[in-house]
Amino acid sequence: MKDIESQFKDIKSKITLSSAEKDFHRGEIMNFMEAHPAKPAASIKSPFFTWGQFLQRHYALAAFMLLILGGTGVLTSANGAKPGDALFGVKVNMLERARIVLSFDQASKTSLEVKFIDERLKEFAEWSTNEDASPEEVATLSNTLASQILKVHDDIAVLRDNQDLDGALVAASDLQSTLAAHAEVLGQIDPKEASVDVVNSITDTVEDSLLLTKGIVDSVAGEMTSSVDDAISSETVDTKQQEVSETIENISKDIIEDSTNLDSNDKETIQDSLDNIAGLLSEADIKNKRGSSTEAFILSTQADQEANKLRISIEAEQQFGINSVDDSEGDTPPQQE
Amino acid sequence: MKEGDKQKFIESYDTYAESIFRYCYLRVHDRERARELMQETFTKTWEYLVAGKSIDSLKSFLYKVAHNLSVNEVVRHKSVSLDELEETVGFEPKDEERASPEEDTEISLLLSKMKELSPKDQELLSLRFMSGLAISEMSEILGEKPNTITVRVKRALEELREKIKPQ
Repeated sequence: MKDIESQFKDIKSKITLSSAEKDFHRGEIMNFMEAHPAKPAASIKSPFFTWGQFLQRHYALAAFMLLILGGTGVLTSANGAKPGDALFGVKVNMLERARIVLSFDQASKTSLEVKFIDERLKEFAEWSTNEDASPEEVATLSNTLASQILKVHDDIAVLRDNQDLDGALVAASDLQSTLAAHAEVLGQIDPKEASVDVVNSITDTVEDSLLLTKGIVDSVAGEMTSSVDDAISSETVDTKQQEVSETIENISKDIIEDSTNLDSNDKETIQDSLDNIAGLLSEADIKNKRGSSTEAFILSTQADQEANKLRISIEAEQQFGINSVDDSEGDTPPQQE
Repeated sequence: MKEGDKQKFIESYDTYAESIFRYCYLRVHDRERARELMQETFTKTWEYLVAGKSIDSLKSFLYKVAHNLSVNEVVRHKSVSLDELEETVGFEPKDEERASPEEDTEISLLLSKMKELSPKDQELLSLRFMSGLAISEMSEILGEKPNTITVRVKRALEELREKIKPQ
């Protein structure tokens, strides 16, 4: 039996108007419009995106917010705010939102939202090692995270509505990759007794969202492969590969050099992962050159997931002492502050 | 009103007619009546606009009108039970798109189980999964907070899953 979402999709594709029915009602509505002419004051805002709307509303508001915040020095302080800090709300509700609004297009906006989800999850990992965090701070973090994930799902739906399947697939796979990596780290957290429920609750949110996101990735990929015209472009594959290369570069430069918390087992695991990522990228490159761009994208996405998982595991181990890179016996015990 | 506004309205019809029709169909379970309600949704919206009022989001407004018209319709025909509707009207795919018997059985099962949910839950699932509306749009149409909508959609989906799970 198909899953419910697929069945809904089947129903959706079957309850349709025929072209003749649609034309008939269009004619009836046009006749009605002729019989009911408009008064001069009437105003219809286009259901489609226009630069005018963008400039009039969102851009002006976001620019104003940045001007005020920047001018008062709040901007710099809020940027590094953590849950529980007075400026955390400013960072999430104003600063991050303003950056999202100022994004050039829907795809960049969604990509930025995924980045902020990554931030929230890192903040949570940090919180899990901090005994002083209050339940209110955690509740704020948990609610913010859930609504941010939901927003990305909604925005992916918008990309699909706009027929930007490339953008929808990139955003969904980015989110999947981020959630999968953090789910792994959350599984390694050994919470203090008082925090068990909270850690479990966040883990459930991440795992549920991961399942939902995987479904979205499959559904968008299915939609793309069912239409030759909508096959993923080789530029999108190149961009994804570039992202993976940058992640690997960052891992090599910033993390491995400062390997105070990493023991020999960890280093071996990291090297294995890097080899695996390089293999996936090389395979993707071959597929892309042969014109199998969708297959190449899927391989690049797997490489991206591996790279993100590695990056987040190393960060969690180094910064918060969560034993997440290699959890076999003989690892360096997590360092608690 | 500019000539271009009329054009925009017709473009909106081309964009949303199908999904508004589907929404109405799942509320009244009658193809012909759903077509009438879809048309009425657009004519009512046009009347609102020519009265000099403005609309922020045409898509949300159309769904609000369709929602109100469907509620009135359901109340008017309350004497007909849902079971009766299912038996007399049933599931009506277009002939040329008829699915395999197995798929039809699955779809009929899903629709019949959906009817066991509360009308509110049926509407939530229909708006979210059949009309593909964003939570923020559903919040605007139904006048409830996005978080409330999210939780209710999740619960309705879980309840439906339980109902169709093989015993």
